[in-house]
Amino acid sequence: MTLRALIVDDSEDFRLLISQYLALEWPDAQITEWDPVTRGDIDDNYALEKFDVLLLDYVLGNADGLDWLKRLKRRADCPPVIFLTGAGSERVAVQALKSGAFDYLRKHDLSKARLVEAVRNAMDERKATEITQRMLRTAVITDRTKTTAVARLPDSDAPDAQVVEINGYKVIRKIGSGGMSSVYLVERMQDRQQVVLKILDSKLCEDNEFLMRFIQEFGLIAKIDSRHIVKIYDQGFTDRHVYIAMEYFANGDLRARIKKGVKPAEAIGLLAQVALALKAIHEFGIVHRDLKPENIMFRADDSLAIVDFGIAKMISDVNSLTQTGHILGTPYYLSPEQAQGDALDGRSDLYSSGVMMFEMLTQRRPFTATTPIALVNKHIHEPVPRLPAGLERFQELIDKLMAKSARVRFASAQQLLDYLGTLSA
Amino acid sequence: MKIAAQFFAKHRSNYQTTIMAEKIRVEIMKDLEVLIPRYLDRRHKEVEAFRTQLGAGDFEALRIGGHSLKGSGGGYGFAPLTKIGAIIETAAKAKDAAVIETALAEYADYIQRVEIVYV
Repeated sequence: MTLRALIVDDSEDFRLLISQYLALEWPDAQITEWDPVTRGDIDDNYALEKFDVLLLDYVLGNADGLDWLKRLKRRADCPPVIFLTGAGSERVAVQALKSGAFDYLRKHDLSKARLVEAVRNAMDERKATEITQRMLRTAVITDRTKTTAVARLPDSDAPDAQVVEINGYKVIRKIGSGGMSSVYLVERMQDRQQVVLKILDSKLCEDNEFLMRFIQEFGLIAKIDSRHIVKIYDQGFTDRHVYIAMEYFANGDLRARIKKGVKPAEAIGLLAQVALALKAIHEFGIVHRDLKPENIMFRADDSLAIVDFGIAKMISDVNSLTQTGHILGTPYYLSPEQAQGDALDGRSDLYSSGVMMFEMLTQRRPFTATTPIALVNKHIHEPVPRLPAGLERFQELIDKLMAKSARVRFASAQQLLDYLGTLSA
Repeated sequence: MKIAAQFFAKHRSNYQTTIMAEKIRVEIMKDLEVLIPRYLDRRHKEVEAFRTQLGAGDFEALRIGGHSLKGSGGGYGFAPLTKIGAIIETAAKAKDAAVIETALAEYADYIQRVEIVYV
């Protein structure tokens, strides 16, 4: 498979360097260089669909690469963007990822290996997106004949909002909305069971990356049969929406529990349930990557389950993806290796569960900072914090969960469970 | 002579290293052999261009040039050029001619002494 790449950088030297590296790996590569200083903006008539990847610098003469990124990512034909940042520009890198960049590379320590890996991943993403779009088109055509309006949900709280129609469900109320989806409590008509409908924001249905993540969530969790993982009942498409029907949790999340106060013995029990959940997903080769109290939910019988696999990945994918510096996840619970964009395995989730354990025990987060970057730095560099007096007996547990090096942590969720067993005894 | 003495006093650390005149050996991937001579040639010209810009007080051109050097240096295998580029970019934003002058002396010294070994 040959490569079609567009390089946008105001430095001719750097464009040449990237072109050379790419040509060495893909001798037939079709590389287009774009100097923003002499050629100006990429206008809406310039076809981007002919490229597999766009490499975009963060400073384009007097223009801001982030502005270009935001504008280009609004286009349906925009390929995955690898954002090029400079030394000390980690904040820009995070902003770029939030603005839709597929990955970022630091220019000052660019190597052929790093570039090639990032570009390969971007090409895979492009290919997967094309497959998804084909699948979606087919699904919509198939579904069009049988869709009848039963559930009618406003797309947003705006009075003139469009209405979402999902076959087979009756809306009870809107539970909330996140960055990429809205969540409704609904009644399933066939058995009158209350379930949750997670509906991808209709604006994001056209965004390939969001769509892939949303579809992936179903694919990952549907494989697992564990009491401690949210149950997925159904996934479907309508003309305008993509949705997942999943288990409803009546007793709220761990965040609310922490606010009320969690006794140490209760915290151990909750951590054990989290460990069981992690054991289940890790055995399937899945890393959650975004463990936090908001993603730990309680059923009416007070059993616990992990939800929100929106950024989870198969371990094999995680390694290939994150080696090139892709950072996702909530900064308060981010493992050092995740913060640095290194390869991940289940021990990254164990670190996050250690942060949650610290919070359950003390009602405060182990690391806080005024900026996301400062927070990330603390996860990477600051020593594991000490528990206050009276909780010393749990320090070893925290140390083994939150060790900076994954090698020093519990090797697996099973090992954590074994350790917790000795604590309870 | 007096001017030269003043200049050397100001940039003593740089010129001590220059006078010792040891080559700085840099190992570069053979894959880049086709690009390096041109890259270094452009750096030599760039030092002069930067000096002209400094003389003309064109800090905006220095900022853009410094930024570009910062971006390309490390990628080509010349990490010190990334640092020098960053210093020039920052100093140009602050219109600090003295810092730029020192950085240019370091820049000139480095590219004069650098010796490439392709591996």
